[in-house]
Amino acid sequence: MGEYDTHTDLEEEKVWIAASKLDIGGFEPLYKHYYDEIYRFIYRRTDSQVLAEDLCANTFYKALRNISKYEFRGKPFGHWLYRIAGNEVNRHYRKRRPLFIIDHQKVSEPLGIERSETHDIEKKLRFVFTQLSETDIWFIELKYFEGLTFKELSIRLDQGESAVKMRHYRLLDKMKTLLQERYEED
Amino acid sequence: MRKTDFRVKRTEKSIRGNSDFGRFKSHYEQRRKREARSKLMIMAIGIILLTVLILFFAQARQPQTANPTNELKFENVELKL
Repeated sequence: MGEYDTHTDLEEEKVWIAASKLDIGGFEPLYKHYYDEIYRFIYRRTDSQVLAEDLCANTFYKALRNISKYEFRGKPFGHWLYRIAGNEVNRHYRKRRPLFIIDHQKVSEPLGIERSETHDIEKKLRFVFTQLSETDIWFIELKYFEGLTFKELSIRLDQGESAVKMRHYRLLDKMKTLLQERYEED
Repeated sequence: MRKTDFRVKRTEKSIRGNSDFGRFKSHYEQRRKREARSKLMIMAIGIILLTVLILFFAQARQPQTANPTNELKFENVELKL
């Protein structure tokens, strides 16, 4: 899966990218490294395994077709793949309403939503996610649904580890405040 | 901006697609061939259309000569009465 422990992994990725530019076979490590993560990213936005497979195949096809134009700038290759995958999903939803699956089991605890209030979880999570920007949703997705550590997140987002931690706590704080304001008044 | 439809549900831990690289590779090669073929077809159609267009305009630009077939010439005709 697309997880990083150190910057040396990025160096390894640089070698994979160079190999992919020379031969299709060279793309295999990148494909295997990122496939599941990109697949789940698309699945969360389609709620269909068949559609997710199609869009995922399109994503990797476009990535490989254009890899000769790709320039390594210190960011993980996944960053580019996420952008292509996002465009593929947007293209699919051009005339329809986009969707996103929130895995309540992974996110309700950090938000302080207790399991006893199961019937309210859906309502609360739907409300709080509606208030977030796309980049905030992606951040939550990587942190809680993909389970990336702060270190991995800092490499993935090309930000310092402390900046990522700060962003995380601010975002959680914002979500908790939104929930309190909305539901503690009722 | 369109509103996102948020669905709350538990996603399976082991959700994964078919990450078989061999399948992807053959799919990629076939698709590339198909794309190259259709690109070639479009180019061929374009060239044919362009040629037709050039011939048409070249024809249209040629000066129209007076129709000589309808003229009767009696230059070397001797009339013997």
